[in-house]
Amino acid sequence: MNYQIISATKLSSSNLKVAEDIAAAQLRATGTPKLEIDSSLLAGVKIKVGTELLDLSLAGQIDRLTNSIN
Amino acid sequence: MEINIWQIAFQILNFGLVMFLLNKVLYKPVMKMLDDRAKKINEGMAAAEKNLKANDEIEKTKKTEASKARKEASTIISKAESDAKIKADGIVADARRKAKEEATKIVADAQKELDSSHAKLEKEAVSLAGALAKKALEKSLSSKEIEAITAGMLKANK
Repeated sequence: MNYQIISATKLSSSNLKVAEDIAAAQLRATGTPKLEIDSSLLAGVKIKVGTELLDLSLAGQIDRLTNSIN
Repeated sequence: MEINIWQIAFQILNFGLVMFLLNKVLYKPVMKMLDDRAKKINEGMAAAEKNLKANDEIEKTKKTEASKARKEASTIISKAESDAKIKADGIVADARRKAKEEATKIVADAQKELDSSHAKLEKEAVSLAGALAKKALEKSLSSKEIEAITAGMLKANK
């Protein structure tokens, strides 16, 4: 099953490997990921498998922090 | 001079007759008229006295009634004043209570509005702070820092 890994900048090979491991372990992702760049993430990654989304980005963390305060 | 008995007797009889006639014709009617007049005068006097007494009584009654009426009027005025004061006090107290309630409501509404505005401002401030943090980080983070942060985040979620 194809999935996407979205990052703020191009991932280093080591970071990509860790991201793939997380996708496999937490979202049961298999196959080769499609890599995308989105600078609005600031740092970290987002992993999309089908309709599931795992947000490990800095922007997402800031949003979650903002929402928890509000 | 010789005394004539018959003439004396005649004179006595004549005098008696005159006296009888005068008594019948003049004295009695005159006396009756005088008695009637005196009686009328006495009756008039009695009536006048009675009228005076009645007038006095009426005057006395009038004075008593006037005094009573004045007292009643005074009582009515006092009661009306007292009632009016009680009513006025009630109206003033009611107006004060309503004004206080209104003021309390206005203050409560204003406080509610203020609290709501504060909460809204706080939310907006937090959202703004988040957006500003993102902007600042977007501009200030170098590629190496991004990579290091990404590595840290991935490691933390592994």
